[in-house]
Amino acid sequence: MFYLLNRILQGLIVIAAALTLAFLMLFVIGDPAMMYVGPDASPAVLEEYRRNLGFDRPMIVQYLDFIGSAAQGDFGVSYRHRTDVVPIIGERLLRSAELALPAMLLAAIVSIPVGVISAVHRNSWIDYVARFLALVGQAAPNFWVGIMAILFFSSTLGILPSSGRADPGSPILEQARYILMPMVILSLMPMAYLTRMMRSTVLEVINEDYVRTARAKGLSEKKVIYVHALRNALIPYITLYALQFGWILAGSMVIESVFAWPGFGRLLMDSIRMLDIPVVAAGLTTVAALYIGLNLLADMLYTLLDPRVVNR
Amino acid sequence: MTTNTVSTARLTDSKDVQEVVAKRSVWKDAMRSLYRSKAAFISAIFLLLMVIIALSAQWIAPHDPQGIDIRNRMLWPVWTDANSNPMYLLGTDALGRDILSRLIFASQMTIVVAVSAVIVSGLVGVFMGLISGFFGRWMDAVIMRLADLQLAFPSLMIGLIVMSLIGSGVMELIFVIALTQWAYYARIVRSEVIKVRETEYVQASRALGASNLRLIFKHVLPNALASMLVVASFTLAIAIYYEASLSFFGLGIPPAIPTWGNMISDARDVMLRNWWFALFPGLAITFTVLAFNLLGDWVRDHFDVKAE
Repeated sequence: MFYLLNRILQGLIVIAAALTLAFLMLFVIGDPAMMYVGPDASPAVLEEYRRNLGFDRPMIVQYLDFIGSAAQGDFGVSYRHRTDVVPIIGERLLRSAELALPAMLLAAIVSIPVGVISAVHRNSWIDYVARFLALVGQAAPNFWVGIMAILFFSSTLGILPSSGRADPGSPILEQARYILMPMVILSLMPMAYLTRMMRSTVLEVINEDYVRTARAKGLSEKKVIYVHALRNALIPYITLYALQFGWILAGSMVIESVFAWPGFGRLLMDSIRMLDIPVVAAGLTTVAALYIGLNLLADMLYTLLDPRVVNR
Repeated sequence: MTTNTVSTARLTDSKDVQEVVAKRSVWKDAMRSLYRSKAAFISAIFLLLMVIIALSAQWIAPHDPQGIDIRNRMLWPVWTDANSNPMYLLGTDALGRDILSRLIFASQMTIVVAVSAVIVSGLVGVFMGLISGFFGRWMDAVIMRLADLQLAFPSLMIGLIVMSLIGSGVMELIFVIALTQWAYYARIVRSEVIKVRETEYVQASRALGASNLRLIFKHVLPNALASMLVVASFTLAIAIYYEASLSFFGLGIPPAIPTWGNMISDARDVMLRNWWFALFPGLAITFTVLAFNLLGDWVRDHFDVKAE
């Protein structure tokens, strides 16, 4: 219990640091009042905005105010969208989930069986093909794979749309056509990584005493692998799986930009490039919170699944 | 992302080798094990070739990488035989620049960025790790929390944000990659310092008056070397991956300089049916990153470094 509290406290410190960085960023890139009104505004208008937005107060007051409002879920107004930041982020996160969740599901569906088969039939041709593909999947830049896929499936074959998201009212199948390509490419990196992890954990587990015992008592090979070995191999796998969601956050920045998918990753990317700092600040904090939450979840899952790991 | 698994097969192999040739030097031992590991050996040869090509780009490249030839725009690669010119093996881009020559020259920038990033992040990381380990107390706490903070964000995202704030450029890119990687070296060196400090032979040598500097160069760094080599080879892979990704989004190396990432970025506007604009630089990135990853796996297995 103490351990858990400690971890939560550490997480809060990281989030506070992220908020501080975000606050500093507001000022590093230039006068924040100027960012609201634009460079052509007259000095009088600029001054009025500065007072209205509270940028004329001492830094320390602004800082505490910024932290206070952020804690209440208020990150101010986007320079670009001219509306509150938090609802925009919420909406975009949902759109990103449309890609990210199926992508992670696909990664699991592929990596578990392939990893197990690869380990059980070690050094067979299946193993070699799987390992080679996993290595290439980790090495190929995802934006490039995205471009090549657009070239092949959209430009050459013309069977899938090259970018964007289907009209929300259109039939499910039509929406799925838009999701398919970015979703699969987003899943490649976690899929490759998880397949390699699965293979190596199964290889480790196969040599454990309890697996030998299971064999010795005459269980079928299938039962030995899928009941005794797999269940134990899944413990580290699930932890790593939770952590891969963190990677998906970075991956979706790239993939959503390549496929013009209106999600959180693309919002963050566009806001960074256009220096829409309130959105970047809220986005950074969201990422930090998600990342820390996932790490915590992974830790808790680990202790939950493996009774040998005692709460420190 | 490039943390890799230990291949148990090779691990046992290299142990056998170590036993058999216990009397050989570390260097010969490593070479032998490298030769035995097919994947790592091919990777090493590939990377060696790449370095040679990059160093002799002026003599090898058939054309000027920036040479615009309007009459020979968008030529297809030779073997596709559709509107191609044997002078341009891999075809030409939208401005009639030879794609093969650009690929060859781009490898120079790739190597410069990757190697510099390793050196900078390694030096910063070692320095921070030494301070953290030797001085302890609040210095240690500050540095390690800084490392935690940095590892709490996806590193590609840190790269994108920092690059858009400080602007694109070669130095900036090296700085950003180092920023996302130093913490790994710092952690290794710190834990090595703490481990070594407690050992009896070090306490004995301190009692005899050995200085911190001697301790660092005689005991800490040699012991941390294998772990740092593993991280370094993955840093090389990550640097190439990030250079390409950031350049692709216009946040890495300025577009006037040919790099693999910039070539794909250029291709994006005009590629509609010109697949070869993007295909070859992408393959170059993939194979180079793959080679560094395989080499990193081998270093880890050979020196029996525990994954952290």
